[in-house]
Amino acid sequence: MNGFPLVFSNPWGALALLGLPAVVVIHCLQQKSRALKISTLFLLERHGPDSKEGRRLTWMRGSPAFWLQVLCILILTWLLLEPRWIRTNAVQRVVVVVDSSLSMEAFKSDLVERIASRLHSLTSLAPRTYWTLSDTDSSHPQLYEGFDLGEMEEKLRTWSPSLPYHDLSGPLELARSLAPPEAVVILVTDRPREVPNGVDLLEIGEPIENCGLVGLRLSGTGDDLGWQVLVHNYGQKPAHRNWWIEMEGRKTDPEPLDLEPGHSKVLKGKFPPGLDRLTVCLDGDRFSLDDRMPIARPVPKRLSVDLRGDDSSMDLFVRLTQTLPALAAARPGEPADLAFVTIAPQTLIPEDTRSSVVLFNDPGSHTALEGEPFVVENDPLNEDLNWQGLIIQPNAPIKPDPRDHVLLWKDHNPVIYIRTLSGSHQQLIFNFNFPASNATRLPAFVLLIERFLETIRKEKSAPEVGNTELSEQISLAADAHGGTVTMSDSAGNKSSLPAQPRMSVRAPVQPGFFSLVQDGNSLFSGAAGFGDARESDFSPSATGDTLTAHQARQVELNTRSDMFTPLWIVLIGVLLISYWAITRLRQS
Amino acid sequence: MNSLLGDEGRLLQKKKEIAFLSEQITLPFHSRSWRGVSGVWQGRNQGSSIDFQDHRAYAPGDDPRHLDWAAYARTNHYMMKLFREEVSPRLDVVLDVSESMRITHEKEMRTLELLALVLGAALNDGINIRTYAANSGGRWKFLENPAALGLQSLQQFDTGASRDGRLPLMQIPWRAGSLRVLISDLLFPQSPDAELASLMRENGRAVVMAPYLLSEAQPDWHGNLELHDCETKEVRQQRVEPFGLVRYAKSYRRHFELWQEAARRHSIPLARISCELALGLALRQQALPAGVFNVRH
Repeated sequence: MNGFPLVFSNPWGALALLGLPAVVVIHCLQQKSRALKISTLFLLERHGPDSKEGRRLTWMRGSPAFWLQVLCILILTWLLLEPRWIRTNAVQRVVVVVDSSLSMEAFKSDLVERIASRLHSLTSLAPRTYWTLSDTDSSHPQLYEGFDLGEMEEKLRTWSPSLPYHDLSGPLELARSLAPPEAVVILVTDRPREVPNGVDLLEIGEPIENCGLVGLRLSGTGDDLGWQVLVHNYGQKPAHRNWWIEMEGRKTDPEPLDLEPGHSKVLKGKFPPGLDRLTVCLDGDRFSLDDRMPIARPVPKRLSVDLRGDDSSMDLFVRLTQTLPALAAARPGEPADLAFVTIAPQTLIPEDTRSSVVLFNDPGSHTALEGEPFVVENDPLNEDLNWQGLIIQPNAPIKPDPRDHVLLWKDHNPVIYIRTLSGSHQQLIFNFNFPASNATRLPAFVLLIERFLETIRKEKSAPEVGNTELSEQISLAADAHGGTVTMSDSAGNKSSLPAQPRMSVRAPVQPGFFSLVQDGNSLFSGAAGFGDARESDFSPSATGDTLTAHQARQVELNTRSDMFTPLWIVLIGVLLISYWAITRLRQS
Repeated sequence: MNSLLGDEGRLLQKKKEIAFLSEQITLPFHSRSWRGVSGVWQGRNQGSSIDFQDHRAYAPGDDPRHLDWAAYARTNHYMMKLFREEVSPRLDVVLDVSESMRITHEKEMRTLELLALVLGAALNDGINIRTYAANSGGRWKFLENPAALGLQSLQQFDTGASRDGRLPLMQIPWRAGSLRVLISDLLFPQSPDAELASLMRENGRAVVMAPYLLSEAQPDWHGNLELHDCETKEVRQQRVEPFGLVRYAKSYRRHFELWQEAARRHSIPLARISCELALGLALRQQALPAGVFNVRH
């Protein structure tokens, strides 16, 4: 509260004060002299300043009419301002939700100054205000809760955005539902956003000239590994920048780069042999996140495959091994991560400790082939796969058991299913006479196997090198019985996470290289770069708010109207009548 | 010269009204005994009227027609009957012809009406009249035959420019023991005592008739005014506010209160006669109560 227990619900009413200078000017205008011939001049005393000839203005005289008019204007201003007295026991709840989108980084340095005036104006609406500060990153705890606005502002000064472009409705609806109905919920963002009902918008952005590195593409492998980085000018003016490459402490000579507004350019090059990391840099501007693009030579997590099949299916297995990425036949003596297995019907499926892809081969079966219809289960592995072109012999070699999760049905028979073994190993079983089918001709077959391999790859705890976007979720398979997982970034920041078999770790918010290590073993290392072109475009950024309408409701909640308003109205009436009476008195 | 009454009929009607009123009133001669030439008023000395005054012993040379034979029969002494002298009093009229007296048509008209009334009433009583015109510039002149001028304009009595703000009452050749009638609005800043003392010189008596305007007593001035004094010709730029107007009204009242007090001290009847009221009404309500006229019996 500002110390004075009074607010004006209609500040525009202060415009009525303009009537004061108008009245003063009118009273300063010199009345035109009227010539009179009189016989009693000796009885009229000289009083007050005489009027001056040839002047339009003269010094104001404090006539009763003047002071009545001034009083009328002051009372009218008071009434138009709609004064309301603040209830001494009222507590206002204000929930401030800060947009955690990375574009807010451009305004982070003076974020508090940008919102301070609006927040301070809210404090005048109630004797006490209970503040809650959070951001739209649901992984973050609440930043502040309490009555001290200054302390909340200090928390806000140390806050940083952490997410790429994301849907704000979830965090905002959560904030709205947790807050009392009369609370003010404010989203602080840098551009117009759709907000749920009951949430006010406080836009603190502005269009800025931004030119940045917004996309990375790698091509080739090994010594032929090439990189392409997209540069885009999102500003309204031509951009003149320099760009260069930093690698292992060295720096190439800056090269000029000119971009017209809205234009893009691709910077490209090849990884020098033996070099695993480099950074493409651009001259800095106000939005710094897209001025550096770190690139790491990617090294995927390799899966070793044990091929166990007859001659007819071995050719298929070899081709799959050569086609699918980061897959290789297990070397002799090496424990394989996966097995491709072909078995005969009525044979028990081997339940060794590894995951496997199981096919059946029944050369003696001559059952007629049948096609659709197939019933596809809703499963991520099945997403967008078309199995209706599959032609199989309908007799299922084996019956499923409770451990199975069916992916595809033919009538009542499971055609493809996942069996979960102990130790979280899984088997992908094609429950039909595989050689007699046309499965190998269906894209769905290869895609399903690739997705299955990816699930196994995620489960494998092994070193991996990759390029991620800022704050991207990285899936990790760590040793649950091992030590904590430590993340280190190129800025020297370190953070530890408890180890879990399946972890999801968020990449750093600042561009740079980082690594995830457990017990000295690398789980993931790579580069985090800016990749969300929507956040680089500041053309829709704006300044504004929707607090005004809400402010009126808060005023009603926390204040009471001036009980003397009828008295002021009567007083105005009395003044008007007095003025009329004085005028009449003069005339008479 | 503009006629104050443009219509001859109205002028005639006004003259008739004044003639009628002058027959109903007299000047206040009954308040004392007068000396003068033979006339109809009782004189201070013995005379030839039929009013018995006293007896005295006969002295040789007395007119034997005035012997009181009845007293001789009672006392055996010759006694002479003495009768009161009948005189014709003297009236000196001073008419203020300053600019202020003709500042409006009503005031000029009322002044002329009062003069006509005074002259008419005096002529009816056969009183010896002398009329003077004077202005606040200290100028005066004797008017040979004022009654013949009628109700025309004060300007024909003009005595020249008026700058001093004072009537020359000390310079008027008052006749001894005469009744002095001053017709003036009294709007000059001099002390009333000095002016009234001038009226009382030479053992005279006086009455004062002061015509006034409501617009002088309660003017409607407001705002910036360029005020021209009609007599001194002074021009003053002044802003008049309501409170200033109140102070003016107070000064105006005080001015005439001083005149009234001085008139009472000198036993001079002073009547302020409104210019806005009808003449008969003004006489009845203001002049007669003040004693400047008496009702003729």
